[in-house]
Amino acid sequence: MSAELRGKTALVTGGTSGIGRAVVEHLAEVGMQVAFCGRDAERGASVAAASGASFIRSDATDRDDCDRSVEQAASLLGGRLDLFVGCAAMIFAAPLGSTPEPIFRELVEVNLTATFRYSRACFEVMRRQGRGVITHVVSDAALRGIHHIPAYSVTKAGVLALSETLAAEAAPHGVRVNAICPGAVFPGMQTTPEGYEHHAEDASTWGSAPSGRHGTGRDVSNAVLWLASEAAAHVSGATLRLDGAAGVATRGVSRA
Amino acid sequence: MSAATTRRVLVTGGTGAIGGAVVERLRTEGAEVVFSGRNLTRGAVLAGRTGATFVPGDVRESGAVAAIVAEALGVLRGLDGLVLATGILHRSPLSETTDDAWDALMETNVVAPFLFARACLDALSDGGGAIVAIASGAADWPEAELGAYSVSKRALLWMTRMLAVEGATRGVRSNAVCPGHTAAGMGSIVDRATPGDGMSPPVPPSGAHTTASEVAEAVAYLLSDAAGGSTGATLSVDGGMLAALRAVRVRQ
Repeated sequence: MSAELRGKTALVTGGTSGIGRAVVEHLAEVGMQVAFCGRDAERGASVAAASGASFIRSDATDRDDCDRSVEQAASLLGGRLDLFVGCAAMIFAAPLGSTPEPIFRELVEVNLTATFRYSRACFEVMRRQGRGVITHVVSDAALRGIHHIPAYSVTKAGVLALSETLAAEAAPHGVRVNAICPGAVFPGMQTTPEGYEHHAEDASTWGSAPSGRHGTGRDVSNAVLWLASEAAAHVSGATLRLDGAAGVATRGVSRA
Repeated sequence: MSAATTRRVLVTGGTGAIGGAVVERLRTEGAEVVFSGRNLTRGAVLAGRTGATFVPGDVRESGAVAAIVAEALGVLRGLDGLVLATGILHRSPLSETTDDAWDALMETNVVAPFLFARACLDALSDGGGAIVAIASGAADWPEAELGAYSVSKRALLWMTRMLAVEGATRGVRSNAVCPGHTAAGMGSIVDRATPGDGMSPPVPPSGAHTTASEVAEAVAYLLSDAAGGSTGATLSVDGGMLAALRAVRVRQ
C-alpha cells in the first residue's frame, strides 16, 4: 500500500512533535514529498534534516501564518496536494469553571478554527484536482469526553463533526475525509499554554490501554497511510478509534 | 416540574423562538425568570406578557456575558437554572464558509455558552442547580448545508457533557436538548437568510417539524427535580429524525 504513495504530495500540520512528527517521518519514508508546519523553528529544522521533508514555520494561532503556509506548501509541492493531515493541536487541563477565557479562545482557535481553515484551503486545491485525501487526527476525547481536559474535549468534538461534515460535502468531488481518534499516545502533545507545559511531558501517571501499552506515533501514521491508500478508496466520513480498546467499554479493576 | 424546584432561572437567547417559548413555559409555573437577548422589541413584548425580566445584551460584545449574569444574579438573588438558548444559524457548506461567518458561529454558539456556564457555576452550586443547553439534531447528525453550524453544535453538546462531569461533585446537573427542524425557530431563519432550493427542511418520520413549545417542555423537564437522575444526557425532540435515515424533504 505504501508503494502507490511514492512521489505523491502531502501537507502535515503540527509536524514538529508528537504524532505529527511521526506522520511526517513515515510519509517521507515511503517516498512522499512532504511539507509540514509547526511553531518551533529548531524542532522543525531537526525533523526536516532527519526526514527530508520541507519545514514551513507557522503558528496555528496566527491566521496570516496559516494562509501563507498553505501557499508556501503549494509552491514547494509543485501545486499538487494529494494528502492533508491535520495534527496541530493544543491541550489544556483544568475544569471549565477555572479555564481562563483567553485560553478557551486559544483552544478554539488552534484546535478548531485552524483545522477548519487549513481543511478549507486544502479542499479547494483537491476539488480542482478532482481527488485528494484529508485526514484529521482528532482524539478519543471527541468520542467520549475526558474529564480532566474538558475544553480540549469540547474543541476536539467540534473537529470530529468538521471531519464528518466535510466528508459529506467533499465526496462528490472525489475527495475523502476521515478522522483518526487516538487514545493516549506517547510522546504526546507538547503544545500547551504557557505555564502548563507539565501536563504533556510525562506519561508516568498514565494508565495503559487494555492492550497493555500506550499508542505510538507510528500506530497513528500507519492508519494515516492506510487511509491515504487505494485500499481505503471507499472510506470517507469514517472515524477510526485507535486506542487499544481503552474507550469502548467500562472495565472492572482488580485490586490486590 | 414544580415551581419549588426551579425557582430562579436565567434564559439566554430569550428573544429567539425557542428561548422565548422556554421563558413562557417557565413563567406559567411561577418560576422567576430573567432572559437576555438582542432583539429589544421582542424582549419588551415578552417581558410585558410574562412578567419575566428582560436584560438586553449582545453576547458577542466584550463583557456582555458578565454584565448579563451580574444583573440576573442581582434580580434573582441566586440561581437555580441556566438555559443556554443563545444561538445563530448560518446556511453554508464548510468550503464556502467565510472567516467572519465561522467566527460568528463559534463565538455565539460555543464561546458565549462557555462564558455563561462558567459565570453561573458557583451560583448554581449553592442549591443544586441545573443547566440545559439547546443544541441541535445537527450536533449528532451534521448537515452538510449547515457546515460550521453543525460543528458548533457538536462542540456545545460536548460542553454540556463536560459540565455534567464537572458539576456532578457540586450538585449541578447539565443536559442538552437537541431539537430537529423547529417551526418558527432556526428553520425559518435559514429560509429567510438565503434563497432556498424550493425544498422544505427535512421532515422527520412523525411527519411534522418540531415546535418551540415542545422544546420548552423538554427544557422544563430537564430543569426539574423529576429529571434529578439525568445529567450529561441528550434529549432529542425531533419527531424521530435521528432514529434512522427516514427524514424526507418535500417540494414547497
